[in-house]
Amino acid sequence: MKPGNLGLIDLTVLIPAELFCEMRRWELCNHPSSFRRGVFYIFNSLYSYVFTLYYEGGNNVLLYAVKRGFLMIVTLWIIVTVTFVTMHLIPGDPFASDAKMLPEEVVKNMRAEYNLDQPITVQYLLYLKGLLQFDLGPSIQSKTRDVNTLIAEGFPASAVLGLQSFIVALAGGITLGIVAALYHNRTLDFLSMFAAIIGISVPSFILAPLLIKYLAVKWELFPVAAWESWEHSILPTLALAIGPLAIIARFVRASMLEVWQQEYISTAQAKGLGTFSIVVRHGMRNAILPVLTFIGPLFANLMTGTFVVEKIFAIPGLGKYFVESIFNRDYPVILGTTVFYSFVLIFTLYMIDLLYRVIDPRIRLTSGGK
Amino acid sequence: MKPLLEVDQLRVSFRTYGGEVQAVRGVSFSVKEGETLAIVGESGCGKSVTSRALMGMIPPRSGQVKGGSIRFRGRELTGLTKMEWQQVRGSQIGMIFQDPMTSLNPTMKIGQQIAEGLIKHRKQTKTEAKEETRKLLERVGIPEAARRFEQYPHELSGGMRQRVGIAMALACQPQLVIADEPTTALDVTIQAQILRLMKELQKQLNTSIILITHDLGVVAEVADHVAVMYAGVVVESGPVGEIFDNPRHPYTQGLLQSVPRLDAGKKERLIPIEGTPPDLFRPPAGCPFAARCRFAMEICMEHMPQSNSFFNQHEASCWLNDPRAQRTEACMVAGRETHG
Repeated sequence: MKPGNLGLIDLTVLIPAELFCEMRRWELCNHPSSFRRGVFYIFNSLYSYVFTLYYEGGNNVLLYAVKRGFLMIVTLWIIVTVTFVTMHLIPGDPFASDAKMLPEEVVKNMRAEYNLDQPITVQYLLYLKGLLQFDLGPSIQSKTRDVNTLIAEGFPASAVLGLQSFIVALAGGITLGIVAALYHNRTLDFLSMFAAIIGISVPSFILAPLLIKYLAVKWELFPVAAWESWEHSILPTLALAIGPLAIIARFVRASMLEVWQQEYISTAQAKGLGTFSIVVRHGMRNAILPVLTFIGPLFANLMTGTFVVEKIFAIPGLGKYFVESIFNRDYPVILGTTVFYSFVLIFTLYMIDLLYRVIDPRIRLTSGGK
Repeated sequence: MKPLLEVDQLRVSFRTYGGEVQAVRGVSFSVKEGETLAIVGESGCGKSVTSRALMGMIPPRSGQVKGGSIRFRGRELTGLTKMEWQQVRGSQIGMIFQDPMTSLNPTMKIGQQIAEGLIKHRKQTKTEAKEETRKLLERVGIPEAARRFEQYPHELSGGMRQRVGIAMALACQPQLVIADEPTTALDVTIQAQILRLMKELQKQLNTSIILITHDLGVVAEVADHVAVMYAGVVVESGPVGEIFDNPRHPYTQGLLQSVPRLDAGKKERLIPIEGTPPDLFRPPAGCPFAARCRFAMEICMEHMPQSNSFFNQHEASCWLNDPRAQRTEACMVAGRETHG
């Protein structure tokens, strides 16, 4: 089947099939952020189908941006729909626990307050209507704040922390990877790859308490928790950054080893350039390309907050809503955080695609053209 | 006149899992100023390793220059430090690579790639280097240099890219340029253009060229001297005319017989050299070519032949040329008459 010929019928067949697989995978993941991971899987599979439909045209950046913008809206709409449906498929509703203790009449009124007594299609359309006005609805759990406020309050802390750890992971990972590649099969290589393996295998909920125990409690170098000054952000940044740092280091090492075999590196040597400028001018740019694919989702994940690290360090971020909203069946928050995460992810991927073009001039934005 | 480059008994080995490979086993040759030396031989005979050794670009961990000397303008190059080599590379010895598709960095503008060397060795500013690069691009026959400066390698044709490669090698006007099969990856018509360009620039700049190739047609066109390599040693060397008209080593004869000639009769067949080169993990004690040689004698298997000198710097290492060998000339001539 040619992807270009995908019609509506194909989509209606493929999407449920894909969804079924994704939901199985969902169940299998018991990691706190598995919900978002599921969203990412779904997004990825849908993306590849839908994108092929719009993949023709010239090499016009503006046209490309418009098409991608349109695609973004379509993708978001699909994600909202899928999330909405799966959310209502989960047994229970926001007032399931209250229903046992409160009079029937009260529960009924509460359900009516949030339109939960309406047919599901009406609820869906009402939600879409709100979304079009950039209103993510009220939070059922915290009665005084709506989802827009939750995000507006939580996002800054998550974003600052995410950005810091992203920068640390990127800079550290690239440096470590390059050093490992340059000292291939020597002590420095073994040391840095050993460190990378440790970094990948130790989860953040182990790493964070260890950091607190030694750096904060024993040696009193940094504050234990809370979100006040810049010093407060150092430990959580480290705890968040080390895993991705190790993964990036391994990626960079592998691609740098490959780049180092290329003939243009010999050419650069033959020009009499020193190792440092060969690495920086000729090696790094080419070695970073395979890493970009990984960086996109990583950036989105870090920016929208993480459950474990924010919990441990008592950071008023966004991470907890992703998890708690599901336990509470807080429908608007589930939808709102999903939409927000999807938006950040799609936007990041768009930026990454543009970045590819900047780093490697051979890559065209679209398959059409010359 | 003193030669620009003198290589004497150069030996290079590589460590591999299978043991030590003696890729170059005592190579000697010299290059005069403004002269072109062609190093000829089949794949794996040590041509490229020799050229890398001249650039100090033998990978330090796996390979090693085991012995011999490389004297460039009277200065010994073996044993230079990493920093000293960086000063030599690009500014005194330049290198043109085989495949212009892979030897240019795909993510960097070609102008910047050329200007790099100028900034490093001539301490030029970016603007000066840019101006110089523009001139260089014009010199190697790339029109609209200002526009081309900003282009990436994938926007240029193969021939154009090799011109960029030449501009890169010549940027700092080195006295010696090593061209490692510079035309092998190109179309035949483009090959001729590139060779002509190299000859022209050589005349203008009085550069010496070491041309690594397996294409005897290219040798005939541009070389002044030829060194024929086989299994890590030079088996015959001399002026290009002598080598082509009066080859003294059976391997050279075999190479020449395996090339089609315009002046040969229609019915004449090309004669391949049977067999494969020896294993360089355990190089033979005697002449490396003995196993494939039609004239091999007992002594060839046991002792390495000494080099014999002939008219006009022509040298060959073959026992057939030893005065003690009988019917040498007759044998050689017979061989050529039956097959040549």
